[in-house]
Amino acid sequence: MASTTATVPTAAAVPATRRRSVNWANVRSYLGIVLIVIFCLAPFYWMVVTAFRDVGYTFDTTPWPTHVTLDNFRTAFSTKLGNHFGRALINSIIIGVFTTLLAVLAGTWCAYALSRLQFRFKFVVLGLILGASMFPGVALLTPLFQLFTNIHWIGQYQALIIPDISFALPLTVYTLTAFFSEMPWELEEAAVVDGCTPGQAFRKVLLPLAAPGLFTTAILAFISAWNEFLLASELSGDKTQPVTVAIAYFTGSQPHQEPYTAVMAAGTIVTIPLVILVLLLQKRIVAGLTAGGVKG
Amino acid sequence: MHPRAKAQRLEVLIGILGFFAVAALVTTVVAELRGQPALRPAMVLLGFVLALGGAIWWRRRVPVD
Repeated sequence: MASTTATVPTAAAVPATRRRSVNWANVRSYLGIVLIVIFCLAPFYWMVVTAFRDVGYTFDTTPWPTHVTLDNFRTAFSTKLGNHFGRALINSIIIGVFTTLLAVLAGTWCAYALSRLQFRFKFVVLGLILGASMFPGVALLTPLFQLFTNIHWIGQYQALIIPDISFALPLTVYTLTAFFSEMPWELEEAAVVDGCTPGQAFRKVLLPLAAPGLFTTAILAFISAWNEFLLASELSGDKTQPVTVAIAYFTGSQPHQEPYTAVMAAGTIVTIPLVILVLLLQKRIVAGLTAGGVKG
Repeated sequence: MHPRAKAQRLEVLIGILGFFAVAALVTTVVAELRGQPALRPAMVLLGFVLALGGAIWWRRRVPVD
């Protein structure tokens, strides 16, 4: 019986040009990725480095802090110069939490109706929500300011929470609609067969299953409210300023001197919780944003 | 494209155009009541109403079960 065996070329037999072939397509891809990462992270890195620089070396161009100090963080929290960063942090947390709770509550009901119920003009409602999310926020500034001034809400928490809900709600509805659409119908039908009303099936069967989606949506709504500056800069008062406005209005020890290092320290403090939150939950956030994108 | 998918997309478009048409209507009415120039808001309203009418007409032409 004849048998053939494949001969494996030895290293000596393989020409040198074939031994190590560089995949230039991969090299180009990784180079592009590195450039994009540097482009995106460089401002954040510079902010953190400047936060640790001594005030006298604010404009040093070294990529690492040469005179490291924590004074900038103390200055950021200090109230001697009229900056109330600590209170602004608490305000941002209050506004973010209330916005998130109310947006998720309303968005859940709306998303369930849009994804699981059949009614006429369902997609028109979806288009209305999409149109509302397209509306430019700056066009709302003057009418909202006038309205809240007339009803004496300027400088109150509700003047910040209600507009933030209007911005967070379309995002909440769309994300949760995609999540609810992926829920199996059989579970709900089985619950109804077992004697649940549709409302009970929603509360006891569907909502617990949609918990990851609710969590992701809450994170996205919180981030949106935390970062909001445009309306907050006009509608907030001294006692209800969120952290974005407080940082923009930081004053230094000298009248015409910007406290850059204190601002960078405050920015670092504000950014770190969000960065940690996103890093821990990035898979859920991506899953939430891409839910419904692939069938089956 | 499946007729139902086409109908759904057109309904979404109707919703978007409807929202902006209502916003333009409110702007025009408020400008008129305040005695301010309302020609530009009225022209914008006209544009959105025409676009909305076209979308509704197109939607009615799509046969859906």
